[in-house]
Amino acid sequence: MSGKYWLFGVLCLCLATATVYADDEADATVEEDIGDHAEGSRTDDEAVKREEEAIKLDGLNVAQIKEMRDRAEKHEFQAEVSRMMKLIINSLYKNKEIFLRELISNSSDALDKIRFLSLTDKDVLSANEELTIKIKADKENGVLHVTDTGIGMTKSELVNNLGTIARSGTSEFLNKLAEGTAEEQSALIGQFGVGFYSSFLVSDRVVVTSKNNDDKQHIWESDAGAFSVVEDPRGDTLGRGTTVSLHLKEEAQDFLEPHTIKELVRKYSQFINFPIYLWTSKTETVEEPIDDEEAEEEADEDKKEEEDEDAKDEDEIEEEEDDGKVEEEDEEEEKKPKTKSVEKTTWDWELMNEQKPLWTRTPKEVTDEEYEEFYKSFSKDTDAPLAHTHFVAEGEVTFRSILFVPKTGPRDMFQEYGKKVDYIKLFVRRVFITDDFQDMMPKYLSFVKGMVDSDDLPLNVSRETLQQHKLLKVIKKKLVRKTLDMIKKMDSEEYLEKFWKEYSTSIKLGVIEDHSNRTRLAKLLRFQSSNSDSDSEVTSLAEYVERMKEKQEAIFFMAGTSRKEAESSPFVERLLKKGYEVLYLTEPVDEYCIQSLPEFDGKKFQNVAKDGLKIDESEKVKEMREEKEKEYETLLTWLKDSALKDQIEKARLSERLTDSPCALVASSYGWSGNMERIMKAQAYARSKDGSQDFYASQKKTLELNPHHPLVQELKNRVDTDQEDQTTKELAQVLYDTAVLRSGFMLQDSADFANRIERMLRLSMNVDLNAKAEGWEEEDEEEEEEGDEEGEDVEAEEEEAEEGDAEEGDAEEATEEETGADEDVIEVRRGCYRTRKGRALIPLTPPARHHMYIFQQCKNSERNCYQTRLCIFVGHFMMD
Amino acid sequence: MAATVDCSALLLHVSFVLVLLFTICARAQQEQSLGSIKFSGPDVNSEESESMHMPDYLKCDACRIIAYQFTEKLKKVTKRRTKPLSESEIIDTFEEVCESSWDDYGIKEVDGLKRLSGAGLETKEVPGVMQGGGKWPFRLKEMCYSYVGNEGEEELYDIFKSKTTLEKFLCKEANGPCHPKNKKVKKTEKDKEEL
Repeated sequence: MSGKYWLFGVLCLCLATATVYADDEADATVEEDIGDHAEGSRTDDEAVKREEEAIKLDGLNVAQIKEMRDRAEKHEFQAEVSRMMKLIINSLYKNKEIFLRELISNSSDALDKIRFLSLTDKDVLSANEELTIKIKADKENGVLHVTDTGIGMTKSELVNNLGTIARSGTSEFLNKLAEGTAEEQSALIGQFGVGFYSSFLVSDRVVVTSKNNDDKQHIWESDAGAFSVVEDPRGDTLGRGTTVSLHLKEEAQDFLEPHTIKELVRKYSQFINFPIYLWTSKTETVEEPIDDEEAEEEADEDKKEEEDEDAKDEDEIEEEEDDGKVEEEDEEEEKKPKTKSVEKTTWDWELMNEQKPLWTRTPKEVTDEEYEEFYKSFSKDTDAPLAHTHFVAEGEVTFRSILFVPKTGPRDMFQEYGKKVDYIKLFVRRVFITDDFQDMMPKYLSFVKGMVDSDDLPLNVSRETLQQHKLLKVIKKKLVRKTLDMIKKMDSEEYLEKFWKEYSTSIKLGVIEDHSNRTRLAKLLRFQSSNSDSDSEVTSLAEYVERMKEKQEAIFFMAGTSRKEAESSPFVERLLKKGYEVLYLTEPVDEYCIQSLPEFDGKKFQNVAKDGLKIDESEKVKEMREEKEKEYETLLTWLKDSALKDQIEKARLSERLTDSPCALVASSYGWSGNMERIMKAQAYARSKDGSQDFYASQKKTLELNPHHPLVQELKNRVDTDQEDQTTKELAQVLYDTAVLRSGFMLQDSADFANRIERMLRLSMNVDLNAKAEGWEEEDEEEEEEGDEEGEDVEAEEEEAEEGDAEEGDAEEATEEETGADEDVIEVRRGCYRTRKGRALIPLTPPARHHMYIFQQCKNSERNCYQTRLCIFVGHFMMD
Repeated sequence: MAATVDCSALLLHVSFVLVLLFTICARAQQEQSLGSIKFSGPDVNSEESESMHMPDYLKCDACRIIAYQFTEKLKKVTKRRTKPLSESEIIDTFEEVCESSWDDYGIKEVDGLKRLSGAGLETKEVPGVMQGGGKWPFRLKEMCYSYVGNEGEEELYDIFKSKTTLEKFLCKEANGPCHPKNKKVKKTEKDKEEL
């Protein structure tokens, strides 16, 4: 290996990274040679020192580099990666500085991983006990090195992690990135784990050297176009970990300035839990005797030790320049005074972050700004949180926790609602364990971000261990209570404007799911109400109860797709007129939510579109109603038994109507029109679901308004002739409109259309039998078309039949399980256990089973025995 | 034995089903030479069969059932123990009670009143037909969790350890459903008609 080649290679190729072991004897020799060659006056010690200070590129000569490159495996980036890199570069060019945050964050993750592994296997740290992040700026070569002693990457991990995106959310990420604002974009790349690629915002070329315990050291190199991976010819220089070396672009050289780096670390990485060091120089004036060689030597030795530890690398050229400058300074100093005031420049690793975790401090001592910064740093969110709580819980398990409500919830919060996801990071004795513990928060609070640090859990904590599982349950319970407290304590205006807007659905789902916190959650609910004319104003249930009329027994609510629909529904007419307040439930989840509340403050809820509505009336009105009822008896009976036979449960005079002629009222526990619409719209609804049919086909009560002229006229007609076809049709159309007005769906819309058309003909004096005439000149074609259509229809019918048949088969197959076939009743021996959760889910249809226990006693009460009889929908079972 | 009967409106007419059922049942038992028994099943109204929540007039019984279950479970867990229960044990105990099947509870007519029946209530020993299953387990579970959530596990455990019984604390005090001020009863349909 010749010195010349060595020098030449470095100058020409400037290939990055490649740290060289300080104790690599071969290299050391070469360096000494060069040192002597470049400046004879230097001591070897000096040369070594300079080498260590400066950042080395390659410890390789031209031939070696050439060989290395020839051997390197060339790879193309996965198409998505290329696209993503372009997007990142195009969208974040104004926000280049985030690259450092991302690299440090990746380093921190890698360190977390190795530390986590070391909890169970001490040996993983044997290559290097240290857990640090070190940043070194090599101004001369324009290279910035970020080195961590984390878990490192094997060759295949280098290829996979830095060349492909395996995540399923790639396209989602790309779309969001393309749409988002600059701030969102910068947050996004961190969230999606593609922060590394932001390196190309500031670099022409990126070299990653990585050593994992399970593989040899490899070098990954890319210019953003393609990348190559090769085994590091220098062998293992890192011990363990990763160095990312950025060959900074011309315009990005500012990122080599120590103060810039310091500022960035302070801004973005102050809450990293590992020490971050920057290689910095200090210049100080020292009083020294002229003969200062001794001191210098001492300093050199210090350096050497450090370097040995950190496995630093060396290269000469810059050092020489560096040396030159320093020397000159020194010389100048020396020339002036005879005394020995000397400017000394020393290089050392300077710690840039304080790692005392925020949560270990007393809440009182932490400012809101610090919480905000902490939140931003660990959540990778750019917006300040809406609220935070910081507490120490004591008891069986002592833990510290900080919880935050983010400004916005995850975008796919409800698309992935079934999945257990949460954003609670778990620490044990300050060591980060996992952020994927799940189950730290119930589903409806999964948007809460934060951390828990406990001294009482083992480092290898797992839900599988019973005792730990129990402790985790205690933690979970307390986290939920604290979260609800935090939300409750929010400023009322902020609660409405920010929290409720973003998380109302979560709270409503909480009411449905969390039985034990239902009372607390109910207090957080807000709904629109007739109390205010404005769409944006909402009321709490407590406020509603306060405004309730003296004799009002229940909280009235009306559900619909919009406030307008609810407001103009026939069901609220009389209530509003009489001055009752009605809640308007306009979200699909609202009606479920209210239904799952047994009561609020001792008041039950009454859906005004259902049976059971009681309006306080004077005795006089009641008497009048009774009179009217007698008067209308003929009409009511006629509707039920003749005109609308099989369509309604019964007909009666309405208490709730003032303007509309009639309305269709669901039974107390049936579906309202709103619920019917929602249930039928469920993506998973089966067309022939037994329980669906049960609710959907439940007959409703037709309520008539005796004050309405149409109803009065109908009564007159029925009183005179019950068999008149037109009267029957009038009744039918009236019923149809009631169906629509009340928010239900018409079973047979074609039939309805026909009736309306018939009425139009009558009112416009058009012959009922007159037919539409087609285009005469296109007779032939039409016929053909007609034929085709006919065939199509037939084909469809066939298909439909086939479909039906298949469905039938499927049903038979699952009959045992679902008891879907309601036409068959079976009495069987054997008893059953309630299948846990099955029949108990609030939204499920009527329970699929009933059980009867027959208690019989002979002579004395002691001699009793039971007979059990179980009925499933369609099945009887007994023993 | 299996009998196939056309009964498309099964769920809509529970009472009808009952009648039908008893016929089948009686026949079945006759065939098995168990002798015929006359049953008078509870006349279940729509609230009792459909509502997601415990009807008001059964809340006192339900409360007593839950208090009884809490007490029994706590007795069992604390038996032969000198140390007080730990937090996690307390949480577990109450959760186990609330998550239990509640299968053996249901509605029964006793002395012309609608009552719940099952372990912990005097009604259990009264001869008659109890209708369970359906929504009853869910309602009891819901009430159980609401007591746990509203009062707090540890507070309930403290009551258990004190001289007051959980039944008194949860059900019979001023806010409890069995307090004379709050207590509601429901007479069975027949009696109502007679009134």
